[in-house]
Amino acid sequence: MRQYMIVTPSVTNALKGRDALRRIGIPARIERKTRPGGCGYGIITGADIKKVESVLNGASVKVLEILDL
Amino acid sequence: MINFDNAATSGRKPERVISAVNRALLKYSANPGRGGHDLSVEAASAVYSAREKIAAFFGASGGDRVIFTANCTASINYVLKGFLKPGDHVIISDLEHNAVVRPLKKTGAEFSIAAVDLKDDEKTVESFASLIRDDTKLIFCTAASNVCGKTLPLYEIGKLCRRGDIAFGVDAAQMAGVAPIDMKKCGIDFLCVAPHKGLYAPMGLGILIAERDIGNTLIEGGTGTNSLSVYQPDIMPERYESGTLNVPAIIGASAGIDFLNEAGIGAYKREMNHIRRIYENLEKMPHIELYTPYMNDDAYMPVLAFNVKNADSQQVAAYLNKNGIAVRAGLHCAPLAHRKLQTVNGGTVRIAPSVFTTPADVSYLIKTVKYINILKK
Repeated sequence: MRQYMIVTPSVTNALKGRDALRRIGIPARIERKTRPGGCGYGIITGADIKKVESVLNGASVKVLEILDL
Repeated sequence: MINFDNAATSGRKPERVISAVNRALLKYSANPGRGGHDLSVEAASAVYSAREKIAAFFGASGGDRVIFTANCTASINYVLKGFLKPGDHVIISDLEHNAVVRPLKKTGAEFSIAAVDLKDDEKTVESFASLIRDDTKLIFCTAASNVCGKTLPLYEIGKLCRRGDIAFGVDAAQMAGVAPIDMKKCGIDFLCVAPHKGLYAPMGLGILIAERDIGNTLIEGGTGTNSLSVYQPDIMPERYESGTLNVPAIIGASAGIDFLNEAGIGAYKREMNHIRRIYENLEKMPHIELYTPYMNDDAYMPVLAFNVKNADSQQVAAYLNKNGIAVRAGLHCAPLAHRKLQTVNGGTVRIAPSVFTTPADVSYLIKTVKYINILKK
């Protein structure tokens, strides 16, 4: 299954996004991520990325980039 | 000792708070938002859950608006020093604690002082309204006086703010956890909370809920992200949380909210019944001076100021201490309030019960105060 990492600027954002996905039954976990600016946190999920983006948008989660793992 | 100094900090913590703090020390002894290992992520998850619970408890829009600080005074400093610049106009009340007045003075902002009417909230609102100018940027006031317990009409003051597009900040140190505060309903932009008081959490933590941009930071440092940049990130809440968080106290605050949700509004009513019973008895004592009218629910928090006539308030507190009762005497870091009550020379004795105060505690206090008529200035 395809896995994505949705990179966010902070652990609070990542957890907010993780919980928003889990609330609607999408499995997600968070991992530390090295980024050009330093460090961040990513949400790892294998769900449909369009759906994931929509949920995170609705929860006002700041997304820096989406990586195909 | 019987603790009637719960306005300073809640003297006895609920068992579930103590257990939660112990559990946090064992289970969450990892720095949240720093490492990528499971221990750090678990600690971060626990902290995030606490943020969400705190936001829900105070009617805020979400956990990311909840900032953890060192204490309520630090929260107030963040708001005033972040939001204001020299020359801005602010309105405060004549009951404010030095936690508000001192940093406000430091900002160089111009401030007007609204008069709180101890009996009539409409007159309080009129006083605030009369001071609003075209350039008023912020109304910042206490939710309830730490000297005499008088509450301010937050909903009505919030309406004034919304009408004038003025930011609204509240020092909720004495009210948070004791009586409900709904930020959304009252239009509060900045809520400053002392969790170690009404939330029954350990000392060493403050909460600031910011529904609007605070502006400048007071403290810059490591936030666990974007480390290559020498600038403070602009993401909430990390922007205002440099350094390591007090995780055990945060978990304790979360457990304190669970405790309060179970106790319900009955706890406040019980404490107010204690205060009213004390008031009714002290009022009859010829050697006692009281400074507020009889307290109705909502108009007052369970805090009572009194003096023994012709006696020094600190002597009275010392006498009560010798007889196993803890109270605080003096000016309570709130000279404005004492100027208002005309007690600035010598201050007052403050009684503040908690959810754990019993009718027997109250009876003993009343009896001890009744026979205290032996001290002369």
